[in-house]
Amino acid sequence: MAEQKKDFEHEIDEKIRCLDSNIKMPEIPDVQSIFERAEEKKTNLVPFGKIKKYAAAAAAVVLICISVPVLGTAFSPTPEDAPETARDIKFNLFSDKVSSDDAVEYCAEEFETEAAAEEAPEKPIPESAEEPEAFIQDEGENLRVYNALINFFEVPAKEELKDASSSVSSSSASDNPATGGSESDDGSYGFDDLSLLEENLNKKRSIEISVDKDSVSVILFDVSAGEEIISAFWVEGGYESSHKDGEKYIINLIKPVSPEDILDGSYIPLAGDAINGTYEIPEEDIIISDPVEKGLFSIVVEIDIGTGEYKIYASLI
Amino acid sequence: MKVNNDLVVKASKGDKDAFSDLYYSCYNDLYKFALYTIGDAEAAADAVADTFVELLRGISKLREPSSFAPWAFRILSVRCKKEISKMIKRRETYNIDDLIETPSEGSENLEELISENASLALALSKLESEERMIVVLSVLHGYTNREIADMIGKPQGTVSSKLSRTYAKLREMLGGENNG
Repeated sequence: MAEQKKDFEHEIDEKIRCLDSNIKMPEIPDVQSIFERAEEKKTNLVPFGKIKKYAAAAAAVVLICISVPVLGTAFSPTPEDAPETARDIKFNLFSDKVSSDDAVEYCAEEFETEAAAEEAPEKPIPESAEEPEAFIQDEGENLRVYNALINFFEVPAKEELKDASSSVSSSSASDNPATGGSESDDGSYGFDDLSLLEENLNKKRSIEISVDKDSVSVILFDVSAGEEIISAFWVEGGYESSHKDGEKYIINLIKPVSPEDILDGSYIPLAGDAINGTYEIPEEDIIISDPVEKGLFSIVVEIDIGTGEYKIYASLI
Repeated sequence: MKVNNDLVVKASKGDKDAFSDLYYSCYNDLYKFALYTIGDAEAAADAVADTFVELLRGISKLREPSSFAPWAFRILSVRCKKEISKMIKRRETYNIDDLIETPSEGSENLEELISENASLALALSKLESEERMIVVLSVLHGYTNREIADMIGKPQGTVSSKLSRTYAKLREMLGGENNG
């Protein structure tokens, strides 16, 4: 058995060497570029004195940010309702203009208004609305979600749906703060395309969350020796909040659904990682509220800080 | 990776020609390591370039010329991890096409060779980046588990067990004539 194992390892080694001899090799870049970059780095170094000044200024800002909520806690009649800690403030700095409630209400109003404006008669999808369970059994797709969304939006005839969806999606894409849309008139909802949050979770783990317009990327590092990637993945949705909860790290997102998403078939939130590529959140991890009141997904990501394993749950609310 | 210690000594004293020779002699090995780890040709080239810039800036402090190769791989492994995290953010995946070049027409059993290389590249893409690092350093560069542990910043026991698991995974994915 051990002999067989070694034989197989030798076989694998040979295959790797064979692959290696067939690797596409580019032309080696001119070494001059390395010398030039090394020189650039030297000249771009900030004098240490300036670093100390900037560090002092940054420390003062951080102290002010910490002291305000701490003092608020001291005078708050109910400590549980006290303002967030400095850590939370740091994470929410870019999203304080976009609270989850604001985004939810904004999205819901946007879609409900557009849907209500349509005068087409209510026309549920034939068969599926009348016999949803039989349909699910036959088709085997996540028709629970589909049917719930169709019922929520009270989908009219397909031509009218397309007209409605184009006007909804064009306004939602540009104005929806939950998906990081462009600034509103008073500039209150804009933020960078990619915002980065980093947090040291404990002596061995740190987490990096990159917030994009319509997705969040997560990398969990082992920082005990170097910076090894324990887990790396992304989830579709607008970032709401994140926090450490014991040995887990929780990230909350929302994903509004539009009639156009239903037409496209792109209403199930997506996730992905480097190995598996992109995938839809599994049906068994999606809960549908009864009734569906807002037509959007509330997504929760739970990451085990120790192992890096993560689980994504979505609720259609 | 074979490194000329004399070149390292000269480069550490500021000899640009010596560093250039080191660069050209080591580039391919470092590039392949990065390519296996990251799975993207452009990102691999970036990681290698960043690594050489760091090597150039730090070589004057290198005490032992024979440590140049492990030092280079150590820097490169961290660079690769950074590139991987960037790829994750861009939702990119391991690209096995960057690993495979069609062998020359004159090769014997061309179709079989292409198929085997593709299968292996696909199997490698399913491994963790660190598993790829370990198997590449072990198989292609002949480093011991102890040397690899030093390069990638892990305990030796961890490297040994990861290497075993990597072979087991490859065995499962590729099958083997000697399956137990």
